[in-house]
Amino acid sequence: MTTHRSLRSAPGATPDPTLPFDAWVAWVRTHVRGDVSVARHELPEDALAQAWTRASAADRGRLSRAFATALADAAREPHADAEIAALAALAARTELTLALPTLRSLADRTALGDGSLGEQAQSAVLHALAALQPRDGLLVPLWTRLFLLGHPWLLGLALTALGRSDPARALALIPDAVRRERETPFGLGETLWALANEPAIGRARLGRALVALSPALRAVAEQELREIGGEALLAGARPARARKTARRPALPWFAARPSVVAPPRLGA
Amino acid sequence: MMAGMSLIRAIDPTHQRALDTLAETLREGGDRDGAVLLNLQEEDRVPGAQVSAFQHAIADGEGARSAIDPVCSALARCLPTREDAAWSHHVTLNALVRHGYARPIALDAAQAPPRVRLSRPCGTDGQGRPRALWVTTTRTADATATRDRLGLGHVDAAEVLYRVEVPMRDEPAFIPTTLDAGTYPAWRRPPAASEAPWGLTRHLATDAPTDPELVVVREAAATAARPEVAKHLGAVTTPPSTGYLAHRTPRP
Repeated sequence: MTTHRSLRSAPGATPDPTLPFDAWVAWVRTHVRGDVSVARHELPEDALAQAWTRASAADRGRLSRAFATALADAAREPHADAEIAALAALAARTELTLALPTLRSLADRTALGDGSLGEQAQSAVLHALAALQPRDGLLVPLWTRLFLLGHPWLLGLALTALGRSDPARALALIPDAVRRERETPFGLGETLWALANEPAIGRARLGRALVALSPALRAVAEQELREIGGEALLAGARPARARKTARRPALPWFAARPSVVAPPRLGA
Repeated sequence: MMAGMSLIRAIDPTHQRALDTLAETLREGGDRDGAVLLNLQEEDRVPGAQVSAFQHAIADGEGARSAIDPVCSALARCLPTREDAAWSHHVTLNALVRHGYARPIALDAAQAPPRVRLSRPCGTDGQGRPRALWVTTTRTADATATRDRLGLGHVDAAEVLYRVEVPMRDEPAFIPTTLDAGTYPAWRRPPAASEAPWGLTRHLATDAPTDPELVVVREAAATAARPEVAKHLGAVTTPPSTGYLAHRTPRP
């Protein structure tokens, strides 16, 4: 394996530009495999993300290609879960659209029930794909299928991803999501918060979707929002109260007729 | 007990050559490695048995830099203490998700919720085993200022920072040493004059000793009944400063 000495010891630096591209890919994989030590609560991809942030425009382009190639290479290998999870998380952090084809093919494996990837790696892949997805609606069937699969670890992510690609469909699935939360908690509060903060949805629209829920389902949703500190969303999620009018209490029929003298017991 | 010695001054003379090799490698490795070397030189609080074990393992690895972290992990947590103040752990949303504490639901910083419910107590792994957890008494409300005060040099701009309260009841707590920090360059031991029963974080920009810090080990059984939440501090707005490196010159 080719590594570059200054990089092993200098997190945040980029590889020597004179090294061949394969060496850059090998350097990336060395980091995400954990061959480069990480301390305290660092993640294997932290140093790579910092290198990308600090790189010159030319180096950044080469780094991006190296990240995408490393992910594609890892996706072809068995037992590369940790690498795939780190590289997918890195793709999300660096807005690496070059990685979309690999992420898509890995996501399809999850949707088809291929058990070759562990939960953590699948989560990271789907999260990156959801964050980077084009807004053309092409992934709507994938997110819908994943939502219907009903894995608790996947429900919130599938619905948030759908909120980005097809907001109306995501809002229509909220009653179903609340029922699923009642059966097996999956993080409904966090999901509603994410949908409310999706620009294509917004708080008002989410509030209207919550108002349309049955009282029992709305109570579940409100409790979930309270638990994640999302009380701010509840103001828009309450059904309008019956308007107070200035109607007076109904008067007895004789009160409207001055000619009728009410007996003392009914009079004022 | 032979406290007062540097980690790279050999107790057993036969180890000195490997320690010199390690020092030379770090000296040539750039600013960050220089900071790690300074930590090894400055650390004088580690009991002699652990210094000896550290040096023996480095000699076995022929002075390789890559040996530092595994050796440190095996020997860490050597200065027990007991503190009951309000301590908390600071962590990014990305790290919470990647370590399996939280589900990956938010797709960007704007979707990060005010509170995240953790699937297991902070400081335990997926099998319920304790992991060393770094805690501080910092109460700063701003995410960027918190990152800088705590010396979290790996937290980049746009990362979302959360705070997890860590009640200190019966959990063993330790003053961190170089053995806990390993090759993390932004960490440094408190000034020699400090006698507080805790360590001190270093400010990323100035290297100034800033907030009390400890390492705590939380037994799963003691934490299982406490559902925990991480509270949103906000998105970090600037890249991490490396200003601290200007104050870290290893001895020749």
